[in-house]
Amino acid sequence: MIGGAAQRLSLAALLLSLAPVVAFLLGLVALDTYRLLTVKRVVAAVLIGCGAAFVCYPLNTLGFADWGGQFAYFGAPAVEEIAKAAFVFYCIARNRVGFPVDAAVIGFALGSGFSLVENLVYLYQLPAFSSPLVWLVRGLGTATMHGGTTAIVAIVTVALAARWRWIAAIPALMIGIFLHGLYNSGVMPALERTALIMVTLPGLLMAVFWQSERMLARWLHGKLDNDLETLDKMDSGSFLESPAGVYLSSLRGSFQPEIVTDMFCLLRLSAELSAKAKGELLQRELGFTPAEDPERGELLREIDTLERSIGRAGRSALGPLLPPSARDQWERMRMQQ
Amino acid sequence: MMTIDKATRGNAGIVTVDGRMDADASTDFEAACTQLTARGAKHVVADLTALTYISSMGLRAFLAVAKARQEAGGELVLVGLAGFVKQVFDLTRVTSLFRLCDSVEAALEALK
Repeated sequence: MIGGAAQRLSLAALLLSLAPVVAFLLGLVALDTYRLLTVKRVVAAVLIGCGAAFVCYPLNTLGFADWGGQFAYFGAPAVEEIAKAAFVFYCIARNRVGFPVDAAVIGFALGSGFSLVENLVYLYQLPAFSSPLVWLVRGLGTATMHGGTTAIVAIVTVALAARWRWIAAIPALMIGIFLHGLYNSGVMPALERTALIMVTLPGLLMAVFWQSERMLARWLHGKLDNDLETLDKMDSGSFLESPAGVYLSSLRGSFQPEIVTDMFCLLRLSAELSAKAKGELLQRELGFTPAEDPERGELLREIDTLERSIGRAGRSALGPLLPPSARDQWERMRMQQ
Repeated sequence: MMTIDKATRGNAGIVTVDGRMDADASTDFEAACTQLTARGAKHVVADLTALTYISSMGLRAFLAVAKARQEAGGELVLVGLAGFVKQVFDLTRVTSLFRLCDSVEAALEALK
């Protein structure tokens, strides 16, 4: 009887500690109006966050054995933030994340997975009859803090990565570790800390989402208009008179005619792929589900072939017309998926 | 520069656009459609025969009107989609979201 009651209480405690973070995560996914992330990718991030917690457990155990309780203020936050953010950095490096919105969702999902395992461990270690208040603080405070700090690390990294490249990870991690350490330091009583997180985090993430949506809309419309203009000029035969066409013509002195032809084709197909991708984003934003594109695979293969044919020097010469941009790479990655 | 004419025939509002639909004009187009539907038009027929250019904001306006009509149980029908404007719809793969007709009369007949 007692065992059954204890089990029910344990389950209730676990649910209490998880419900806020799950609700928060679902809210973030719902706010992603362009549907940049699939449910599959969010679930994968949660599972990877669980894995990060398993990696941290032995490291934290060693840290606490060596440093005692002080490890919670600086050591554990550093270990945990690095473990959680590793996947965020991978996603940014591989152009799987393009905007603060998808970075925030991936970051929060990682933190959610991490807190799930952490709470399970905590539940296993604590007596089953511990106060529901503990689980409320762990759910609304600690679990949300884990999601929040990783979301902040992800947002800062993606915002700085275009200019600072991999160095962007350093300030982002420092912010995450500082916030996490501050939370652990007990500078404020547990309930106040939890209340502070509940008050500040939704507002902060809403502001990021709003700003990110505006950024995405600006990029989408600016690029789409450029792509459509390029395609119109190419189809009407006036492209070679445009500044881009004059530049392409100037490459005839440095490259074989067939390479310049491939460059022209690459510009055409890149603009076409880009216009298609942006058409899909527009449809998603307005609540339509884009239809399957039977030509997409062929288009992507042809672009790969042209890029190989042009070679590194050719791609470099095409740089002013097709500047290597993380957002364009992100878009191509999305189309490949 | 774009000019917009509005009319109502039965349960359909007819919007005739002429010229270039850029960011500002797309707002006017959406407003014209909203006015017609607020006055009771269930469907909107957009006559694009004289539309020579459309920007991404224009494209978004068409999608927004189509979505609003769809949610209200109506439809946005496009008439005279051709040239550059058709190319934009085709390239961004949104053409299939609309019913296309050759004339306003044919569109009104199709909506009956």
